[in-house]
Amino acid sequence: MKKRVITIWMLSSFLLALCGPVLAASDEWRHLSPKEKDTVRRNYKRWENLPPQDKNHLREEWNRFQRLPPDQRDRLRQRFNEQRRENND
Amino acid sequence: MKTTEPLKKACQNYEEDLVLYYYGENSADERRHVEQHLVECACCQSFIEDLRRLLPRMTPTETLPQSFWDNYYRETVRKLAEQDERNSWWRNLFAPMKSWLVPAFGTAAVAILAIALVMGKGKLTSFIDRPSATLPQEVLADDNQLEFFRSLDMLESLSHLEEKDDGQLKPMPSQSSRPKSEPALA
Repeated sequence: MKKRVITIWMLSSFLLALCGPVLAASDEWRHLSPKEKDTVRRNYKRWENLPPQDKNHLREEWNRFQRLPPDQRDRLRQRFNEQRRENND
Repeated sequence: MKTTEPLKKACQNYEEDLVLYYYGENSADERRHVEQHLVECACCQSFIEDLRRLLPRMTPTETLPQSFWDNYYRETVRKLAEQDERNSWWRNLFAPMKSWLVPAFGTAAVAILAIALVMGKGKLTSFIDRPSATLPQEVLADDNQLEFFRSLDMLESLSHLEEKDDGQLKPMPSQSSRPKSEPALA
């Protein structure tokens, strides 16, 4: 009985350690496409190496973007995606 | 208060013999030898008296009725049978299989797993995708931060995008209050 409890406990701990980060991730992360996940990872890595003034500037830009009306935000996103597609072509 | 008195000391050489003497487990010669000593030694006399007084109290003998032992035997046999049944359910599962089938199935399973790992490498890595390898928990758990990092490229060219947008549409009321001269990041 004791052995069984220890085995179950060890197995649960192992599974929890394995799945913990995935479970902790938000729904939004789970719904991102692999490409979008790569973008988030790449941008986070880049963010870590940015100088503080650039970080501040981006934070301000983000706050400003958040305050824009939803339709304008969508338009800007759309424009940015178009621009990126053009550049890639 | 006599019961709480400690055992009196016997002669060191006789201590063991005295205990055996009490239990009647030494030979006739040893017994005679001990008895001779007891006549001469007051300490050993008190020691043996203490043994006679204390040991019966320390080991009260309880004779169990035969019915107890019958039940005990029956219960033990029942528990062993239960244990045996519990242990053998998975053995029974494979019992119909021939002895060579189990290792054959094992080998086949390992081979399939190896092929799956080689063929579906890309899919497997996305299946066990562990975001924590590069992203901290606070980013993963926070939708706002995720959105921020997803939009970082766009934020860098936000002013430029807005300028283009303003060229095509009338400026929004919220835009009028924001600064226009923010430099874009390299």
